[in-house]
Amino acid sequence: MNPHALYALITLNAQYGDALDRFDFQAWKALFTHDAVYRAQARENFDRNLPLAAIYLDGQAMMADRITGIEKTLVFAPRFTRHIIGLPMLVAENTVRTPFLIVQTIGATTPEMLATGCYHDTLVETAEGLRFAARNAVYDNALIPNSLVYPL
Amino acid sequence: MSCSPDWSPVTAPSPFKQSGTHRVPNRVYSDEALYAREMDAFFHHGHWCYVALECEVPNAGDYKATFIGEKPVIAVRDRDGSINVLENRCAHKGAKFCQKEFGNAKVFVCPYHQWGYRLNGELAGVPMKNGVSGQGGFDADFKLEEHGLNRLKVHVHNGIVFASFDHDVEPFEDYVSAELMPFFNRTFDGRKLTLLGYNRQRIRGNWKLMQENIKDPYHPGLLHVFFVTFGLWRADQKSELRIDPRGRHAQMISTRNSGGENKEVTAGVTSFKQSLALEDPRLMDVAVEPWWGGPTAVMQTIFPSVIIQQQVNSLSTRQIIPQGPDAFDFVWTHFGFADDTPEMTERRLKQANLFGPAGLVSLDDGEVIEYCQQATTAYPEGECVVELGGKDGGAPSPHMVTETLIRGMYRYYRETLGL
Repeated sequence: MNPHALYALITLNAQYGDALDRFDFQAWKALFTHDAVYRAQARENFDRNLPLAAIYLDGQAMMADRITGIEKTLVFAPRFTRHIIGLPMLVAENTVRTPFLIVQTIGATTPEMLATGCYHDTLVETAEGLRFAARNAVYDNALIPNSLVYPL
Repeated sequence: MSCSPDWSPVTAPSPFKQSGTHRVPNRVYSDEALYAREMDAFFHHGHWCYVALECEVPNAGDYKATFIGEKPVIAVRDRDGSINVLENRCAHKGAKFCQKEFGNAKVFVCPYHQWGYRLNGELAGVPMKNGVSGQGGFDADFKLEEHGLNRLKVHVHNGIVFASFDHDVEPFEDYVSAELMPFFNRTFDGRKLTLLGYNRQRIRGNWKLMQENIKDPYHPGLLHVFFVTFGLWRADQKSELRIDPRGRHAQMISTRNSGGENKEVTAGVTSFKQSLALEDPRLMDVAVEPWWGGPTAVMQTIFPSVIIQQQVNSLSTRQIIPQGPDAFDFVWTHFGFADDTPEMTERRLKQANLFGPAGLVSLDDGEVIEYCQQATTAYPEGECVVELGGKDGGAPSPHMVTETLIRGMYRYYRETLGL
């Protein structure tokens, strides 16, 4: 992988975590192509080829519906998330695995681990720059501490 | 094995301050002693508890490790095609010998001293039984057949598997009741099921709050703004509540209306958002299935261990695994039918966005259950008011504006625990 491509990839992941942790969901959505598929899927399903995902958004319009849910309809205690995204591992042309760790802090409590796992990505170069054509946030911890409000 | 509970109903004063169950004492959600009695009386004696779907263990030797109450068990497909449910506890030193949640085994071998068990729980052999070089070993009267794994009573009902620690538990269909079997059989009518996958969450609330949540048709049209706005559940929709004579199980049966605003049910409901519309209607691309026979949602509470969900095209079992009085694990197993088209499977997977720990609807429930746990624990002398629809002790209803199903569950609770 050439250094420019690696720089673009690391930047994309930095923008991704930054957008979610600042609750800027429009910026998050803009990192995907129009018909990109986003999933947050338990590793027990991924490893056994079971198709169910906790969040399955097929295209930017469905991502927009999830954002509406977060901002207008869901009931949940206020919380912060912090995405710690590791170094990308290029598996094949445009196919990348990148480890993540996401910590959440609910109200005035101590932080807790929300999820840890690995992003399985398909990337595409667009006129706007590098974008996700597919991102599956495969989380190792099958057991979620109650709620998964925001995308991983 | 013994089937009588090992607690005495007269050892503790009742937390209930009056007769009836229209008031529920906060203490039932946090009291350690009550919790121990509940585990013993409901999960570990006298009840059928959910274990698995048959499609999770399709082949001989396939197993699933799970829990009934707090007790680890294994459901395994035997060579003759039957399903055995065994305690996941080595008869030797008590090790939870099976640590994988799913797998395939010819025999179960405890890693500690390699006691080996057949798929029906029989002890097949133990190392050094006759000693080594004439020294040691077990006494001559040690009999393998006396040291098998404890085996539970099993009922497989058209693809869903229940088990009981009690071998003289009442027949399964009597347990569910004649009132509820028709809608139970509506989902489980003998068609082959297919496994779509799992969601798991730990909810930091008492396990009974989840049973109450699915016996409560009052909240969906108020709490779940997503439901209300997109017409999936409204207080004015055609509906019926069923309950078994003892009050423990229930079904909420309803038919969705087309959405939009009905002033009587939306006026004053602050959660109603008239202007919202889905940007991608495929999220709720409902296709009517012939087996529904009308109702678009049937939510079943089979006390104490499971909820069975049909919400339009989304189907799941939701297993309750208590973790002390103040938490439980909630395990969602989503499924479809073997004759589903790829389009129907896709629909079930997309509609699953409404359910589970991330669900556009169900997320609300996990949150408010935690809110209930936080304040009922802080105010143990308080009590909850369960008086919508009157003060009866649980009765069928032709409408949803009632908390009668919750009153029914606590009638059974008081009777069974002698409170």
